[in-house]
Amino acid sequence: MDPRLIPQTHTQQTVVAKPDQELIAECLRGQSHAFGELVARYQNRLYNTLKNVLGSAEEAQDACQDTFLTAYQKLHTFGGRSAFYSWLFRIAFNTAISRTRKRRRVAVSIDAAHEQTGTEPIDMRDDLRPGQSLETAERQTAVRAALAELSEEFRTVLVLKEMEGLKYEEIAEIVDCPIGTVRSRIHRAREELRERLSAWMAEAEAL
Amino acid sequence: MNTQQADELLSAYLDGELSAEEQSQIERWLAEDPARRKKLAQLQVLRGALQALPREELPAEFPSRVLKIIERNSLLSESAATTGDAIRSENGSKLAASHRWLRYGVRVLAPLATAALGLMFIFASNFFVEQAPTAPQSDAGPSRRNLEPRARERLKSQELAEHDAAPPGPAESLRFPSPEGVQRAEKFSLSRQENAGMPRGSEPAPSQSLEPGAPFPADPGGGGNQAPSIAASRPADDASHAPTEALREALAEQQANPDAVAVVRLYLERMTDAGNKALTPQEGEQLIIKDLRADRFEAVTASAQKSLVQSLNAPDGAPLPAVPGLEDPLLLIVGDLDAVEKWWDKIRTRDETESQIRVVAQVELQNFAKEVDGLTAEIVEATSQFLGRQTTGGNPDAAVAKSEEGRDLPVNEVVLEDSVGDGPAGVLAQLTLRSAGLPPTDESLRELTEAQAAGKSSERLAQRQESANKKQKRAQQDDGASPPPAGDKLVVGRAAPARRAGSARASRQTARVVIQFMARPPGPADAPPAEPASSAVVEPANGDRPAAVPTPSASPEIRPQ
Repeated sequence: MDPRLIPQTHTQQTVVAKPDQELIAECLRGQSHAFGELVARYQNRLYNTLKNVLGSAEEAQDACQDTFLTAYQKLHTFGGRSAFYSWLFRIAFNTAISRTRKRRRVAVSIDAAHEQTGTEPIDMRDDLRPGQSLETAERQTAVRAALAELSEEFRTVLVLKEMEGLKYEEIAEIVDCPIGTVRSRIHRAREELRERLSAWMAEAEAL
Repeated sequence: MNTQQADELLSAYLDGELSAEEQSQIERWLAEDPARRKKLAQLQVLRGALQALPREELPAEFPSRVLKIIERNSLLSESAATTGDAIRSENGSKLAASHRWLRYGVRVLAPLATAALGLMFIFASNFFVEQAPTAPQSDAGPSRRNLEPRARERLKSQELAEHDAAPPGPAESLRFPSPEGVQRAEKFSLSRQENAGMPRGSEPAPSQSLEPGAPFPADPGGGGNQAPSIAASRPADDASHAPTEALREALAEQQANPDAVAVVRLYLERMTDAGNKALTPQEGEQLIIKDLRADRFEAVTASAQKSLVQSLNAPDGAPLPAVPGLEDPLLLIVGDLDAVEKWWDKIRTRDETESQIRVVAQVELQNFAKEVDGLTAEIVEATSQFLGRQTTGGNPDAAVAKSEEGRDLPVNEVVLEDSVGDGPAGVLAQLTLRSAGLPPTDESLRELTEAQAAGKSSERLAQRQESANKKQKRAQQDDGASPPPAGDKLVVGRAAPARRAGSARASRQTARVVIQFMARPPGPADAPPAEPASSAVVEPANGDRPAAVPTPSASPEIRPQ
């Protein structure tokens, strides 16, 4: 499998982890704990990616859970032609997309509720942590906000590229569009992000 | 090339996704144009900023949470198995379910075995026959009471053969044993003894009296009620008879004549204040489930069969021969009677709506499933030991003594059911809540299924329940509707004491397990479906109970504490 797709965990430093395919075979033999291992192996990577795609930790956690549940149901269809994580992420992508569509409807109703009640929804973002410099926190908040403002299709490909390090070809397979489109979207996503972060970019350049 | 295209190339260059030709072109531009170099630097900064976003970790228990939901969803999707064909699915993907079902199964068998719990086979030197009116009747049956044990066993073998040769009839396996049926059968057995020496053909047709017996859902029309069957019950005066002799003989019979007998039915009878009750679909709200056409059961049945059959054969070491057409005869389901009791109580006291109960019961069941995770090997071994002790003539009293220091009486429901009639078999398993007056609704099941499918956490389920509860109460207040009628006074759970005839002592016994051997249908196609050949009752006994365990009919009253 693609070595990039093997997460570097502490356990791997001390114990030789079973290959994904072996765990999958065990799952299919009814050993559910093997699936637990697969979940543990990829949960954080998937979660962080989904968090960036969805822009919400809570949504990402739910989507992550849904993804693994769906993956379990479809495990027998995993042919091993691609890396397990790529396959998993395709499921996650579909899950995330359906979630973002649902969320759009919810967002509309939140806006409507706001108009009616004047109540602000609570911002659940947790970017700011103790011990984090305000500057770093602000920058990260700005980056995250800018990312969140990208359109879904731009944000997804950019996250897959920058955070997942996937190749265009892999991204194209996941989002089901031509490679040229992926290249174009990534470029446009970067352009938009650059514009949105222009003030901070200028600071960064000055340093 | 315009600026837009050039910038796109630059972006792709950053990603290393250019052709060699494009790459050298970009590198030339970069060498010549500081503005492009600046832009590339900005893209790199941007990349760094994105990659520097803090990463978080999901809770360590996330995998176990996922597994828990998977199990819960499995239970839901496996709902209400109604046909054996469902089990025959080609989908090999659901193998994981086998593990779970196996665990559940052994969960039942194991405590029975390890703790021994005074389990006793109440087996039958005394058979009573439930014959369909159309079944050919054999010659006069001798009174078994007057027979020596070996003679009884020989008679039993004859009966097995007779039933094997019985004419076509609906699959016995489709008829879930009803408590009424059991009780009637026992009555009939008495009447048969009284009529000793009479030709069997002259005996009443008890299958008619079994009419109220719940047909198995696979065949709600229930032709199965007419299937000839033999049930066995150990009379109170036959405590010395080694119950496992019958088991051993049935296995030997099967080994000698694979087409004759299939091991097969195992169900739990729950003791209630109205007497022992088998768990029948009609009696209860099926918690798990309505539509068990889930393909995953193929593997489940195979695994469960293998496990149980191996356990059964462990003492002799001889494998039970495969029965053609009966590759997958066993499946089981187990529920947590504690949860059942809890929620049944809520039904009775009308504290919860049916749908809420369904939701919560599923959660409870999942917790139960979680509990037993990892016990498989231990339980299988224990089962084997138990059966070994029994088949080697172990002393039931020893088992009882062991139970005194061992575990609690298992309070699980188990139903092992085959469907030999229409081919290989499905075993059905149902966890049912008795809910007279509260028939299950498709809507409530659907609601639950959706909730599960949405991957709601148990907290959310709890919120949902709370919300639904309020809604329900409001609705009742609004329209003044009277709450649904309370159902039967069902008592389940490990604490329900038994009050036995002739003894004022309370008993911890709450349930017994019935193992039934069923005859193979004699032929393919329109051949008659299986008929039970014999059965053994495994009854958890109390340490303080005498070895002579009364049959359920002899201990009619078991009351809640």
